[in-house]
Amino acid sequence: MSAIPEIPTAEDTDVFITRAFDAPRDVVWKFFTEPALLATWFGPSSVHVDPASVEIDLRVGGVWNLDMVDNETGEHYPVRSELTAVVAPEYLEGQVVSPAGVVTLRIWLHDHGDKTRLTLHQGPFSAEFRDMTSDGWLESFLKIDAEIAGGVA
Amino acid sequence: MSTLEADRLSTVFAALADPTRRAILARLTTGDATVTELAEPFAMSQPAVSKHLRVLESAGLISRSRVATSRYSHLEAEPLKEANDWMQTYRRFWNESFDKLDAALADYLATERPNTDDTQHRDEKETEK
Repeated sequence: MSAIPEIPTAEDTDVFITRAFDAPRDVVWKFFTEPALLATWFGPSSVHVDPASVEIDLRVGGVWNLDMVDNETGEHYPVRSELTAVVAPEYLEGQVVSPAGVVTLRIWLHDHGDKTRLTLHQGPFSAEFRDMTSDGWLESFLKIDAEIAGGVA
Repeated sequence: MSTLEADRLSTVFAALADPTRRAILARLTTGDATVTELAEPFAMSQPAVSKHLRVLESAGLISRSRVATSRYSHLEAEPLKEANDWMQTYRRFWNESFDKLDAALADYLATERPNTDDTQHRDEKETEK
């Protein structure tokens, strides 16, 4: 059994998404943890999941792997992850390997009866990001956005 | 994303992970500056600042040019824009995935009709983030 961490404060550096689903929490959990169900939805609209590629070993240290397939070109995009926390049916955490490096993905499922609220946190985008505070970063970004808008880039 | 692009983004993110380097970039948005000028707000030696500038330069976040005996750092905004775009890509990735999940859940509940009567209704207040 893993401990469920507090949801971290949203920062501009990380991907942070909250969304409500019209299904009970146990069902949403299945869609993240059962290969056949995960294969029905994972990935943006331009891809689908190769159902045969999905491999889930639902335990700490287990894998959470699948291949996304480009609908047009048929190119495979592997998603390889190692689970670092599994608390059914409310929390899933893993280290996801992407071309840009290893990122932590955390998914909280909040029980609201017939509905489920999902909170997703992805990041930081390097080990050093973990210690990073939001100040400075956001400010830099806003200034730089203005800079870009001003035609510097 | 090609491996080359991914490597470059990793370098950009690593360079941005340091608060001093982010502060240097923020300073450079107001105009080009010398090492001496950049070292001023920090309790830091010029060689230490120079080291940060080398990291920023190798990430493509700044360029440096020599004017007479002074060396000026100049902000290069494009890699930051790429890093920001990259994060937007991730957000789109999940939002599109979740649209599909929404539909898949509706299909599942309509056809499978699982036994939802025993669904736990916890006395949990709906909290807005």
